[in-house]
Amino acid sequence: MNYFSIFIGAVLVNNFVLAKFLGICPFLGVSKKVETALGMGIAVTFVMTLASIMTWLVQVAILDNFGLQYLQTIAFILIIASLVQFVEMFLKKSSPSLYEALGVYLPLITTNCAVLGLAILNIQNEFDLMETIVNSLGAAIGFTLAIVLFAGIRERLELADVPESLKGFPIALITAGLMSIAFLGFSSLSI
Amino acid sequence: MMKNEIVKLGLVLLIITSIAGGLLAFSNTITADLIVAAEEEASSGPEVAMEVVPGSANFENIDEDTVSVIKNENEKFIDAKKAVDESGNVVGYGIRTLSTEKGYGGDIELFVGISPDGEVVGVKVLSMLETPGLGTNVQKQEFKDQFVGKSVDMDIEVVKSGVSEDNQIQAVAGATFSSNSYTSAVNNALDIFNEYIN
Amino acid sequence: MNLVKNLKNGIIKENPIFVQLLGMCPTLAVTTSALNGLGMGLATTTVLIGSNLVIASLRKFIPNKIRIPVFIVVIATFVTLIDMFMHAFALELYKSLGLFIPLIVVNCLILGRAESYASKNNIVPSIFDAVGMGIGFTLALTVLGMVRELLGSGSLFGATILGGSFEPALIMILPPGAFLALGFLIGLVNFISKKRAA
Repeated sequence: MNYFSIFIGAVLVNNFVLAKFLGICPFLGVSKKVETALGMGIAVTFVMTLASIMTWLVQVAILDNFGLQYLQTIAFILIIASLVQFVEMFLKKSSPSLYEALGVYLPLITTNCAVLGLAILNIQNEFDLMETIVNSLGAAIGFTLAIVLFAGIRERLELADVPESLKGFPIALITAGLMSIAFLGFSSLSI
Repeated sequence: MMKNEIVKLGLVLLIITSIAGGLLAFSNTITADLIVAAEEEASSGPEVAMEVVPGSANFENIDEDTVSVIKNENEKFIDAKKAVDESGNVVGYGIRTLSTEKGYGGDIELFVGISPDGEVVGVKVLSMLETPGLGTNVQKQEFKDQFVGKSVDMDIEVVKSGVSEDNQIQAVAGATFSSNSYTSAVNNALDIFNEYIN
Repeated sequence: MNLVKNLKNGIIKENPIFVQLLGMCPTLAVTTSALNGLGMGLATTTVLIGSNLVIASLRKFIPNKIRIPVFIVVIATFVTLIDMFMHAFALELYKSLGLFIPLIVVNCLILGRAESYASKNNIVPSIFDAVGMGIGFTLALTVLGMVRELLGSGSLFGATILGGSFEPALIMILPPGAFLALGFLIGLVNFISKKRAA
């Protein structure tokens, strides 16, 4: 498989949010404004890529080497949780302005299933390190694309006359459903 | 003061993770064999044999050397078995292989049953990730049955409509990609049969 | 009396999906059929009961500063156990839930109950809390699975209900159907609870 097809596949065809249902919580929770959605997207991109590299290395160097594959779930979630903590501390010290912008999203990312899901998928697909990085970047950009587009629609939706019972989450879900139909069109891209 | 606390926290965490690790190692030793057995049963148990080669009762291993030779030379090949009836007579062969052309969701994994005189007798999908309701229709009887009776000398071809030749089969409506992928796996099984088993 | 209230709380008043909107990923992803929804619900409930039980009984020994890592280790251990046992004893369900079994770890519902309930209450009420939330979660997943399976494949728990001239709406078992079905179901729940209040 070449890098280009992995990348496009991850961004559009197998969009994490709209086709694979990974990372739905932040997708619904942090998408009321385009600005915050973009912040979340960038924070997720950062953590996802780092976490994928770390978990890949741990899988290859430790788990596979010692036949400890059954500890995958527990090892990966601990790596992600500590990585998020570490990134938070590092940003706070080294780049307060970046921390200010992304800080609030970081704790939320630990329980973002997109990060753990991506780490496991990379292993299941038997990607090498470079493919892992390309796939992670693609998945993260796909997530950012979906959440920013979604936030744009939701901003407009604020002004629309929505039936009382559908206000808030229900109409957001229905909107996401319509976006998902649009993304379904990409599945006929043969790459 | 600070140092003491860090050591204490580290210790507590260490104890808890060791207990968790021990527990998981223990249950891993219990379930590992069961998992292998369950996978084997689901992929090549008697039920699969009866479906793939009608009239058979179970699969038996063929000699390991042949299997490893095929594995070396054909990267999509997974396994080959002989199908036996209740009294142990060989009534056909089963070849387990991935498709050589990708469907929408990657490779399709099939078990293809072939009679000793070289006719396809049955096909079963073991795993696929095609679009539900479209690509997954290759599992339907009408599609599968088209392969039954095809001879191993043929190279089976997929056409969208109007089957005119013996070696042609009709694609599932709206799922040409999946049909092609499925057929490529069957063809791969036929090649393997011709080259190594017959 | 209080324990019954715990149960009812999880099932109706604070239903994890319809009211609290927690654990959305598995809810949307695995509910292509009623059986998958039920299976996922039960697996999550088991993990929830286990983690609430352990965390409630250890709550006095867990230092406050490292409580989150400890919770995560406990939850991940139970998830891995479920993963192993499902792989060994319920292979078909295991395969159809796939990736979403290990992802139970990051279901915010479980960490949420550990943090907001089990770490502050005794063992018995914590178990009732877990059972209530678990049933509420399972119920919602099963209902969503039933709606999608009925509209998308014309069947319920695998048995054909709407046969004949009914043309299944394929979209319901594809990803968009998950969003649409859940959106309208939550809308319906809102509608009913508003009617009741009025």
